[in-house]
Amino acid sequence: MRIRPRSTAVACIGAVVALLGSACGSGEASSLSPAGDPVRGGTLVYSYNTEAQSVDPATCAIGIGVGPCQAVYGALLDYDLETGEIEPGMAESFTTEDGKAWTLKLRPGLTFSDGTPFDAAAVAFNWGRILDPALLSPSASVAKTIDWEVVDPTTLSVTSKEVNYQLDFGLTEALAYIASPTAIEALGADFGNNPVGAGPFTLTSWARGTEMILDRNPTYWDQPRPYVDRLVLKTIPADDQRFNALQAGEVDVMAVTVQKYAARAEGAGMKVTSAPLLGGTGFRLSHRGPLADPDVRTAIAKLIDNEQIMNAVYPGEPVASGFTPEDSPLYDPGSAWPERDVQGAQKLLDDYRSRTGSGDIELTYVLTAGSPVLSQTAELIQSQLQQVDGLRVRIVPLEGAAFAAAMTSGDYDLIVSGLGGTHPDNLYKVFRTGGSSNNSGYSNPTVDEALDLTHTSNDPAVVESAYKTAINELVATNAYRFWRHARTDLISPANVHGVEVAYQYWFRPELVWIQQ
Amino acid sequence: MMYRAVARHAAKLVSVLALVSVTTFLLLETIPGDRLASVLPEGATPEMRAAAEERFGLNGSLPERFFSWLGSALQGDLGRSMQSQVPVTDSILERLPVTLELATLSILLALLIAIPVGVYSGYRPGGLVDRIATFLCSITLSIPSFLLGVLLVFVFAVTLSALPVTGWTPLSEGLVPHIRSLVLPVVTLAAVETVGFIRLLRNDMVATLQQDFVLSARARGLSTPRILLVHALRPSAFSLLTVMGVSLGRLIGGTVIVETLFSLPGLGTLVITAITGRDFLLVQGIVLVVAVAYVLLNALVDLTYPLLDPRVRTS
Amino acid sequence: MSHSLDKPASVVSEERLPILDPQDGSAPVDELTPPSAEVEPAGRRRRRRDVGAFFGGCWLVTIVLAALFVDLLPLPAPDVVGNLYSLPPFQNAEHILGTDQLGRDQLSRALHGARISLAVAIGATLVAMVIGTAAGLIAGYFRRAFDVVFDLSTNTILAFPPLILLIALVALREPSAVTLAIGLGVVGAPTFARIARANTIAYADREFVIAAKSMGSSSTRILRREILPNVLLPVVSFATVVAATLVVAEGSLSFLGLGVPPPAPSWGGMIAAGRESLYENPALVLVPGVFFFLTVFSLNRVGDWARGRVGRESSL
Repeated sequence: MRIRPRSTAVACIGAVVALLGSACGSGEASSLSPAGDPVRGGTLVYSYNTEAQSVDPATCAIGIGVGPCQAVYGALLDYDLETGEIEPGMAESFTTEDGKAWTLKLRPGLTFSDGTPFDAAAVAFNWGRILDPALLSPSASVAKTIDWEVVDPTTLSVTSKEVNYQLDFGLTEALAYIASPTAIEALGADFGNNPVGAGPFTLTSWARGTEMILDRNPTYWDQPRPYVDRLVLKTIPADDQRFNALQAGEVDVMAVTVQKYAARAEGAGMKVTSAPLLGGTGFRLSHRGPLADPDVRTAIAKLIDNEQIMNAVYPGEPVASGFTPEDSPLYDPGSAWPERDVQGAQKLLDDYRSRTGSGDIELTYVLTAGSPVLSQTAELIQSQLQQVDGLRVRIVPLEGAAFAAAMTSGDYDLIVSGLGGTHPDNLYKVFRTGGSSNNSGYSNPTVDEALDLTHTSNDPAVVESAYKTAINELVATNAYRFWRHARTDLISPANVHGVEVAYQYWFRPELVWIQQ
Repeated sequence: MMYRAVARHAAKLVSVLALVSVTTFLLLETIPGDRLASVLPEGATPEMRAAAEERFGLNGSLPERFFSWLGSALQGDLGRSMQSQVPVTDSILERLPVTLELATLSILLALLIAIPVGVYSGYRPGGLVDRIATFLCSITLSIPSFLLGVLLVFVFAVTLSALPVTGWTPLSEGLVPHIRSLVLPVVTLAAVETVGFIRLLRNDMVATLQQDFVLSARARGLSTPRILLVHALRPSAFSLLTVMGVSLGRLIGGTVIVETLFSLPGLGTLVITAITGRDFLLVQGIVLVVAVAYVLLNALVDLTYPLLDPRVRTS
Repeated sequence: MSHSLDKPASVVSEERLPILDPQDGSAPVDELTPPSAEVEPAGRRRRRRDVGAFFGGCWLVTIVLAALFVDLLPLPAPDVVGNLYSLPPFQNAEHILGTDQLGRDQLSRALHGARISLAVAIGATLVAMVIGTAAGLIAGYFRRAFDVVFDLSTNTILAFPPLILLIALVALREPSAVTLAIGLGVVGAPTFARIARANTIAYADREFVIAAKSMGSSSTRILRREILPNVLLPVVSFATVVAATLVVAEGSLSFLGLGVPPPAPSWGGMIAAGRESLYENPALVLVPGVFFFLTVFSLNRVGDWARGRVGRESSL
């Protein structure tokens, strides 16, 4: 424990106060009255370790960029991680009978903060813009699967080219953000830094690398929300620093992916909300070269020792024993990783080599450079894989762009990759043959069939079972392997209410209120 | 005569800047791998790639692209960052104040320490202060900035919890938090500058104190502090100024390590993000700005120095 | 005679060792003024400097030998993962200097790291010396157009924010020890070039050179036989100081994650990794830090001594 003479004194005094307080009947360190009804006012400060590049609705649908976009534009539909339901957001409803013909109903009378009407034509404009190849929109792969037509100002008729009952998920992220067409046309390339939307907040100022300040949008449709007057997004790269800021009251919502802060926060009387995300920290296996052979992949799976990695690199955190965590609705015992078996792995490799007559197998392990945690994990994995004869691993740390290039071109054997995202539909684009994020060359008819079923079936039970089938098959064929479940914790002091994980690193700020 | 010197220096300046720009351009061109890697989304189609190449001006031959960039640059347009769409000049102007503040404060701190120590060491060469100072200088020069920074963090931030570990608090959030977030980075940077200034001052003082006008001042009965600080320091002031100018020019491009270590939003961290993101227009722009600063300050030093230093004029 | 460049001898330091910013640990060296211009009041001072240089020399010899023959030492291999994580030093006979976060022996890693750091630094110094001396000889002897080109190229390299140049060089290609050595060598060349040029100019109108010219010797011959041997001495006397700077540069790059890739251990990389656990176990930073410091310090001290000796011996 840290020895801090000043704080020891404070702690002593605090202990006395707490004792006195408990003698009076209330045992809580923070004497807050029960929450009561939401009140208006205050500034909410959120902090994570990176920030968005731009607030352009066409490019912000993934990762950290979602935050400011959701704040400024609001999402057409919202995905509730707890219940797994998709709920109305800026749009009133998005319904279908047959999974092919959908109807999007908007709320009447909505306007953007510059007065332009938020109508079906605006939605059509934004979705059309996503298709523009020059904008390099990651949402284009979803937009290409549908056609749409303006029926009347509050109705858009959407036709999915293939039957896809999961299409509504697309309107919670990829196609969720609608910006003012007038402003887009007026500002052109500068729009990303001067966004105009109809969401709960408007962008006031942005000091890149430091903080972004957003103010309450008085014309937001869902009055009296947002409750807070101001939302500040701060970038604080070091986790410890961020936590200190939280404790000092400089930050109200801290996002963090490492679990050691949750325990410390709860001990300090703070609230922690978290949600299980898809996948975890691990690597994707390519399906080319020697890794095209299932025996080689199985051998690798048998050599990885999750426990050793977690003990060394993430001490104290739970080890992922399978693809899905036990508290996930998609949990299935069939998704447990193969048992560690060094001799079995050696045998498989020997068989492979005698079958194909090849010599030592050399694999590249690609990771992003500059992260000591990832480097340590890489070195551990290298030593785990090299304990058998005939396997050599070359660690290739690459810079940001070089890493992205290797990933998208499939130029790797093993590559560090989180699956990312909240909704299991993300499995489709990564593992289905021809999926837009399928760069490992994975192709499995069982998985394809199961994933297609998740799109074509209207029955939640069937969909859930299909996902489980797909996941079990992915584990059995060693497409992916991780040792730590993805999880984002949002930590906030006791007087901040309404914080729930809604996206990978983000919440819904319009629901948050601060008790004075 | 003066005009000849100015013209010569201007010509040199321009050619150096041109060479720097060309070299950067060529360097960025010879990247193996995909130039669009950081902006192309997953599942990018060939149309997207073609549109991106058009949009970012990647079509056309090398000379075409270079001169097109040069033409815009001369009109003040350095293009837009590929990743953020922000105009390069805006990005640079946003980050420059942090780096400038860091550099300037470091030099000031270095001066604050170096003047008393250097003057006294020169006054009493071989004495206790001189020996200790020389020893400490040797030690300081052998500790690289990243190691020094980490050690300072360990002592002041981790152990004593007196200062923040990393991070930048802008001035708008209060003067004291702002200063606190700057203390460790400035000290780290100032360490090596201090050594240079001390050595310069010391040697200068030793030489100056042997001059006639000092002996005559002493004969006139002036007190030692007065002689040291007013008379002996004056000739050195010019060289000190020139060294400060050169240091500033060098520091503007040289704060990368400290900024990375302390997560400061300055030019250093921007350039690393730009390089690793293959944001070549941003890299090109930053290198140009930093080179301009360095070259201009050096030229200023070269030009004004003979004007200021009486010893050179009379020689 | 040697002050053919503009500035008077006493105002010295702005023509610093231009490779990399001094925050990378370079000694502000002036190639214009021999160190004898610094005041040496008593022989006592000279001896003290020798003591530092002597210990510096001892350390350098030790570390080089240890790095060369580390495989013969009874140490665990540097990439052997154990299960004693983050062991502090002096607590376990098997791991004298403790272990890192993955249970690997610190002493072994430090010595293997020495290999990389020293190899890159020495390689880069040699590259810089060869390029720089050649350029300086040519520019200093033939003057005119060569001098102009020389001036422009050195100024261009100097005007380039040095660390940025290196980061660009390294980030754009997969770094290997060779790439690093060449890149650092290019950045370090201007220093040697300027020294070589200054000394070449000084020697070019000495009597024996004029005599050789009048006898009809070709320029190449003159350069090779008359001038080079005299220029080489001051150039080489700077070598260790330059090497010190390059050790720091390589460390900085490794610290930023841009050095030789894992699992090759490097001092800079060890410090970067140790930074994460600075609170729990500062030894993770201090062990490579001490090695780093001692090496750079020794190189600087030996360099100062060498320059002092050369300055006294060669009368320019």
